[in-house]
Amino acid sequence: MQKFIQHIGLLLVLVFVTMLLVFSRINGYSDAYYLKLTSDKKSNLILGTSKALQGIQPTVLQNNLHKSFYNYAFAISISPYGSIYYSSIMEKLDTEDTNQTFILAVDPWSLSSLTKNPNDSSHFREKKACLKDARNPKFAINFSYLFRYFDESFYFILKNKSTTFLHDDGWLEVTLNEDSISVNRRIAFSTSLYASKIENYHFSTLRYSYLLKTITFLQQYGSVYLVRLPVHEAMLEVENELSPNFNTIIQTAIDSSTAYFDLTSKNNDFTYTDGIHLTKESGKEVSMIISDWIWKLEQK
Amino acid sequence: MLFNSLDFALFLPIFFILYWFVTNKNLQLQNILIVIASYLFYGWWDWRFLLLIFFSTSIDFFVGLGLKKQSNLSKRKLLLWTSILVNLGFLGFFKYYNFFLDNFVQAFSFFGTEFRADSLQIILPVGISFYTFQTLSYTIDVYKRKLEPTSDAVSFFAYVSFFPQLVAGPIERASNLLPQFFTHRIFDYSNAMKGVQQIIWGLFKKMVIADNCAYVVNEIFSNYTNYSGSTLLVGAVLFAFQIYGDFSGYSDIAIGTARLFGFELKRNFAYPYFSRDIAEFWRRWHISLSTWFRDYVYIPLGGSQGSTWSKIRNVFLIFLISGFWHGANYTFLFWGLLNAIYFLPLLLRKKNRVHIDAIASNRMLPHFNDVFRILLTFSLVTIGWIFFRSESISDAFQYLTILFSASLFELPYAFGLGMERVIITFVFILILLFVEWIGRKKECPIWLEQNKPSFAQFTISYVLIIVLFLFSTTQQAFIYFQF
Repeated sequence: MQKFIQHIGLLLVLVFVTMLLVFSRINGYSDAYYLKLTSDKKSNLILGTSKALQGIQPTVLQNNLHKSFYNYAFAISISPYGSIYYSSIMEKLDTEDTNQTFILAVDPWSLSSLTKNPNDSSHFREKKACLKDARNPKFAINFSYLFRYFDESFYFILKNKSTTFLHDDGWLEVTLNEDSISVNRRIAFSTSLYASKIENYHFSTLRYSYLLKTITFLQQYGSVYLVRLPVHEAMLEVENELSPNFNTIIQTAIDSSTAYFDLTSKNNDFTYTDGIHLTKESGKEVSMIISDWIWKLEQK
Repeated sequence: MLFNSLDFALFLPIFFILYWFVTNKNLQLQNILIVIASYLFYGWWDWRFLLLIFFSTSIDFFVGLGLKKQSNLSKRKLLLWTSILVNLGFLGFFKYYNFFLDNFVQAFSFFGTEFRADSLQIILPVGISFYTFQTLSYTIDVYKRKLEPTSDAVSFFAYVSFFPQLVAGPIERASNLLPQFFTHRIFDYSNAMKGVQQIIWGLFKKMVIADNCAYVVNEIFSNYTNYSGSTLLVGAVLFAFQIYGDFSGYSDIAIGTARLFGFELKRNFAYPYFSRDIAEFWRRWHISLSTWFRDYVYIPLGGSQGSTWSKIRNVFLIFLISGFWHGANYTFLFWGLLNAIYFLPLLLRKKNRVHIDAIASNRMLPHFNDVFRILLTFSLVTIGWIFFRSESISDAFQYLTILFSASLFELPYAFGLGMERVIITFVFILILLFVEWIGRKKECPIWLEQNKPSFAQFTISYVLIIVLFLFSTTQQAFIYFQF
């Protein structure tokens, strides 16, 4: 028995040391969100779902507005507006500065639910996602996140190469093959996928109430700007089918915020990786447009 | 409690310490510990179903005692039928009630009569199909006087609820497992190390093979109309390995865990994808269930004896029942039917026991003919799995229609799946097949020949755990828990 315990003990120690060595190599290539949940509190948050995560670049905003922005957007399955995202924002926000600028990306998806009853929060899919309980840890390694929510196999950490790279400012840089055949194929695929799922999505007044709550909360610390990011025209048709009068529906939110900018009128000015998400170059342009818009508003 | 969970990783060492260091000197106490731990393990999902397993076990225990005392044939029959009706009654209610109700309502609607019946929100107790069959085998064997009934309630409860194999088998016969609770278990280093290695191998099959396959398979089967035939082929092949890795992986973990505590469970899988025909496949796949059906249904029906028609009837019955055992859905019935159709020609031509020897027993590589037969058998099995995996029979046929369309010759399109993950999964499947081929004469292919642990054994275990750590993906429940 003693020999057995010695062998198993040695095996476990070796495995644990190997694990620590692997985890010590985590960087922006390893995971799209991990570093967001191991960083300190941040100010000037950019909020929303994957459109904002990939499309709004904090460094561009910083150059124009001279503030250090942090992109705290996640995927649609993690950060649609709701109680979980709201709590997470409250926890992440550095509340010492009361002259901050917040950019909240809104679209029909982030205010809709896949549940039969769109206000049945007990079945919201973000309840199974990382913001539910993956808080900033006290240790350098967030074991809770790694073992419960790390989306890929851990070998991705060692690979140190990926189509996505999470920057220190929270922006997720996505590098995909941009030849027209690949892009068109992705756009066609995503559009048909979303179109096929549209009947399962329903606008949620509960989510909308949390958008309003988020705006009210953030207004204590600065200006809140709402933006609707551009999408490919084919995807806009899908979004319009889901929520035909989106701007009217969110009128109260628009009125509560500092200002609202609907960029979908400029859809054709930009390029997309898959119809939903802006390419890096277009993301830069959009970030520039947003920062100019905010700058002008703040000068008034 | 899932084997591939943190809960189990904590549960197992605590149980190990209590089992070998605290209760090891008292057999009765050790068996009581097994019962408590097993009930804790089972109640982790839903404690309410503990009452069900307790009741079912109690009935069979007392039926066994009754059969021991009773010599009157009609009274013995009554006792046997009590056990059968109670056990199958529970199984029928929890697993098939809504299925039959829906079909009943549909049948009435078909004939123009509207019939309103509300289905119940029934939760299927985990593993009910497994422990029901296990307890049934006890009463049937006792009734047939093949087995002496036990009056040791603790041992009997431990036999029914033994946690390593409680929720997904192997379905143990009382004649094999029950006597092991009557004898003092002695810790054996080499046996325990074999157990550890078998657990690691099982986890590899589950967490690296099955879970990685599941990631791709779930996407493809959920959106199969969006994909080309070639992508659907990838989905079907990966599902074949998913279900194999998932279920045989569970069996390996179960057998390995039991080995750690001095128990020998029956082998449940014997490299089924190296089978050269369907009959051989069914001798190598889910052996404990196949042999259960053979001994308690097929042979009592007459088996392969009798007229051609009775042979045909028996084959169809056994496969349809087996399909239905897997779930209350026509897809499982059709899967059973398809396997009966595959199997029948072999039986009628008396070729169902041609391949009973080990494949390429004296050679490193198989003959070309064997390779062809293996591939053909695998293809047939995989077509069957499409029905097993699909939501409905029409979905399965549609899946097959797209699969065998011209788009079968296009390059598989895996946007959204991550081509790299697909490639890695296939690489690990090749590694699995290679290791299994090399070790095909052993129960667990990574056991080394020498009894004593060596540096090589230690290294294999370490490498496999690191592979598990690096390449396992999001935790998935075991498929067979739903049965």
